[in-house]
Amino acid sequence: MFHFSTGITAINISQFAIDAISHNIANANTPGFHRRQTILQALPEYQVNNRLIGGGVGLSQYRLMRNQMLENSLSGSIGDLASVQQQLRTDNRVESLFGSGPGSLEQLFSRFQSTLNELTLNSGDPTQRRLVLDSAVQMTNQLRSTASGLAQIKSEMGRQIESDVRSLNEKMVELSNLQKQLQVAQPASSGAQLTDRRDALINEIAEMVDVNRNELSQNGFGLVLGGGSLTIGQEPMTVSTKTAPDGTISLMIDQFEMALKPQGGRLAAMLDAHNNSIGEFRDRLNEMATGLIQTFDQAHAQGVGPAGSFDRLVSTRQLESTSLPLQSAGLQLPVTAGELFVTVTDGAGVRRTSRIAYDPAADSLADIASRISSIDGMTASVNPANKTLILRSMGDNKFDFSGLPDTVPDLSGFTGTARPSLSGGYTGETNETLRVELAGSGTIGVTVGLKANVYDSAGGLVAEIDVGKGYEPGQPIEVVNGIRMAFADGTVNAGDSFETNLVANPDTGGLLSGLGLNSFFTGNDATNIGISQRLLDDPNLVASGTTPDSADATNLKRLLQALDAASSSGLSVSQALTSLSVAAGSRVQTAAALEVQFQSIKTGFENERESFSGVDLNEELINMTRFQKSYEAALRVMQSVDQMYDETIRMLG
Amino acid sequence: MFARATSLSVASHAVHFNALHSSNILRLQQQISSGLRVTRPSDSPGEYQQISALNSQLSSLSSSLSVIQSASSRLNASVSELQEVNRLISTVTQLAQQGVQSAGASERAALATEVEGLAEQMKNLANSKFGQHYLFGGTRAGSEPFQFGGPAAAGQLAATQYSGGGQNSQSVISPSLAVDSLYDGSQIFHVAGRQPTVVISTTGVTRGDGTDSMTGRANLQIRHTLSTYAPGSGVAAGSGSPGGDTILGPAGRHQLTITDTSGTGTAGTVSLNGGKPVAFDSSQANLSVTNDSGETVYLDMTAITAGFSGTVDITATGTLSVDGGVTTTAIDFSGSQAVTDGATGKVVRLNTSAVNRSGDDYLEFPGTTDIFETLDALVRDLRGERSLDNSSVGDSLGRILDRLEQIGNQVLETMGIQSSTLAGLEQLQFRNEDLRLEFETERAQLQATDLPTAIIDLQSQQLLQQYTFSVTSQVMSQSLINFLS
Repeated sequence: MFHFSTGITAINISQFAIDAISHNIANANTPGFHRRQTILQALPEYQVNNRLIGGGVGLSQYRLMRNQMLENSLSGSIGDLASVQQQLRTDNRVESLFGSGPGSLEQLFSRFQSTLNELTLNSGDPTQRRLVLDSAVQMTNQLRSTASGLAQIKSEMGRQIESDVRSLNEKMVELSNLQKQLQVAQPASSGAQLTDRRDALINEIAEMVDVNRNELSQNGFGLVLGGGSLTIGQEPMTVSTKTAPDGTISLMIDQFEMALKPQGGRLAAMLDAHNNSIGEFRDRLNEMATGLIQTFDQAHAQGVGPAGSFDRLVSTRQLESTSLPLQSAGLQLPVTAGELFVTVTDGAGVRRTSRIAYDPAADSLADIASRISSIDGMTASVNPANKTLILRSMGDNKFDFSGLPDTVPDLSGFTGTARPSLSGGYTGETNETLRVELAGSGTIGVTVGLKANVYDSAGGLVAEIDVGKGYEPGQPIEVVNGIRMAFADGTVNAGDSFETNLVANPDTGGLLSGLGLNSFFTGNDATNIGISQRLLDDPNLVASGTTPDSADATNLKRLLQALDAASSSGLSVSQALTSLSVAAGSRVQTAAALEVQFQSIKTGFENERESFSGVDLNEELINMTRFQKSYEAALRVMQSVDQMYDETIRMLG
Repeated sequence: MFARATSLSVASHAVHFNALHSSNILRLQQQISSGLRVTRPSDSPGEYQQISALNSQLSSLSSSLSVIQSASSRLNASVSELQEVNRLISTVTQLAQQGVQSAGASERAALATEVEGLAEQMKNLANSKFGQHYLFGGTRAGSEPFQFGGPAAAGQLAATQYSGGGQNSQSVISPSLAVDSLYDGSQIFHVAGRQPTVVISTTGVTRGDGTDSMTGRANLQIRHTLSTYAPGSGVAAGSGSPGGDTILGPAGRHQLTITDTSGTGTAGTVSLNGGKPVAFDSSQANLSVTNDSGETVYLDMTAITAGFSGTVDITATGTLSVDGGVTTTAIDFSGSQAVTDGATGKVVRLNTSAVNRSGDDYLEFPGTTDIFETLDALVRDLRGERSLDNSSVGDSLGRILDRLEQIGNQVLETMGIQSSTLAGLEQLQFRNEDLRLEFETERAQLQATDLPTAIIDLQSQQLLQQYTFSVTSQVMSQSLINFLS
């Protein structure tokens, strides 16, 4: 006997297959969608008249076309790409801070250098002095702005990390819920849709932190985050941020109180930028700025401007204590043991340069004040309120740190009536204490063979001057390295002697810059660098020379040499700035190249995944046509059976 | 195995390559529009570093060139002024030579007037200004370096006060190179070269032993202060003696010869140094006795010892002064006696051992005057202010000519140094300009866009983008739907 049932199975299956195809076509452009495949199988045969007859067709499998390895690789590439894209965004911002062209740090520094160079032509010109200060202000503004920009990027990065962590936690809770639903779902019903959603969610998580799927563990599925530091099963796990005292941010897994260490995704890039790379740029910028401040201030402190020497100076770099050794008192710039030469000039123009020694490991600010006070014509005190050093000259004296030679040396060891004097500028390279001793007695300019012997610090004879007959009293004679000496008319006695300091470096340990005495800059790094207000108020205080002479550019040469000198890591300021720009540019270039590479890898995995799981419309249309024909054929079978039954009834009837 | 091509794959490819081509087109558009291939470090870090180094060097070169040009201008101006100084010295030398040969006072006076005019020009040249700076003011070039006043004391020369800097002012071309561009004028218009002091004397003073420190010229005032007489004769200094005696000398250099003709000391004759006897009587308390040499003493003859006839040794002391009597020094009749100018503290050493009378002598300190004092000295000599004889004037003019030559040589030497510096600066300027050109070329090669290549690349990218659109359109339009009826 014929049965309708065989045909009916074919019609049902065709309808089901066409529904599945319809679902595939509808989601052809849905991201993360896996196509469904309908697998048919013949129904069991049954025996009719000792013969086996087929029972029709049935659904063998409603398959989700999904490849675990491809899904995992895709998630990994998404994490890598997200990480490098985040790095690129950050590095682009850092690069733009250092910039190039007009207004860049390099250009502004160059301008400052040029204006300073051109000041040597008109060192007394107030307009040119103002230009130097203006260019310095612009440069320091840009330095602070760059440092502030780096701090801002870091701060924003911290907020973005917080935001991403909140988002990550929400997604992990959702993932956990999905996993629970998947445990009880039927693959042929809601299971496929939940799996699609889970895959999409994992890829969203992968954008934030690296993930690795393990679909055989934890009841069929597990997810490893942060290079193995966190495994997610059915129970939700959450992450929080922890900020260390040094400002470093780390991620902590709340449930286990252990650190999550992302190796990929945005969070990895942001944590690296926040904790490492931005800090490195900041440190290098500060190191450069500190070097600039120290070297330039040290040179500036040793000069004077047209306004002349000082009757009062207050240190601008405050300490934390006036009684502790400087080393423990919060010095803002490094100071080493050395010697400081203070030059005091009286109202008649008589100049005397005195030496004091200091050791920051042993001497406090009060000790330094006490030592300076021991110099004739000087008094020094400390301000206990703001921990600064105040220097004052007494009477009509003025002081500076030019280290110029005495005009009249200390003559306490001189018994004759002839007064020796000194002039000229010392051109030697090391500090010396010159001792002059008369080899005989007599009258200057009269006594035949009257000699003055000149000895250096080591006791070596460096010159023998004939001041007897033939010498014109008062006429300067070159003695050593630019120093000239003269003896006024009068008598001298054998053994008469005096000492005088010849100063190549008036401050060998950096005390002046360390304390901020007669400094050009304020602050001690890029975050707080500025220009001394006293200079802005009076440009004539810019130390262009070693004397108040309007065309004395001696110290400008030293200042230019300071700008050219190594400021950090053996680099000049200009080189250090270029190095920073190049470092930022290199990071951008590397990240951009990696982005292209990772984008290409991701596209490759996406294509492979699409090749396996994606919907090919033409393929679906072919299958649809196939099942449509199958449906028509089944109907035809049903129609044939019906006709056969009709014919049989009509014959009977 | 073959890949299944899905519509999402096709779309993904289209989006990916469109983005890639668009990005390249944007980059090329920027390069072509700006003309620069490297505008930021990430464009090419290595090249950016080179460009940055070149920019830094170009900036330094630009500053250096600016300084070189300004320093050259100053030095050119300075050389030009010194050439004029040299011309003036030559002219003055000729006038001085004329003065030597001239015997007439009026001719010399005319020459003096001419020299005065040249001296004024010389003063203007010494204070010449270039821009804001005095060329010969050294480091104090902001104010006039030379101030000219009158003589401090009779017989001295018009004083020149140099208030410029004692060092040359330098222009810093680079941190390691600086050149002197504003010179210390005191080292140009004056040159050290002291020669032995000249004493033009009528009093017996000669140059002492030792080296003097006084400069220029001075009048030496030798004044009598006290005469004392060897005991026995009863003669004493008259009331007019301190200011009236003209003799000076230790005991015995001068002698009186007294003859008591009355035998009671009330009348007789007295003569000075063997001169013509002068009659006296005991009523004369201030008898003036002058001999043929013009030496005079004032005597008190009121207490002549009765019957005294013979010689009496005179001791006549006096003072020396080189500052018009402001400061005086007692004559010690030694071989070397220091006399100090109270105004300057400078000293002249004189041999007073042969001083025998008071008077005014003239001191010259050859080799110590600057050009202005030298010209002043010339004017004074041509005008005959010291009333010297022709021979002495000739000698003095000869010394002035020597000094003019010394200072002229100094000016020439300075001009030589400045010219040499200028030549060096010119070479440096050429070298820096060459370097600048070289650096700019190198920078352009590193930084500038290779326009033909960039334009071809742009066309290539545009073509690829068009292909992307075209192939995407074709692939996406190919569908089974079109064939299903």
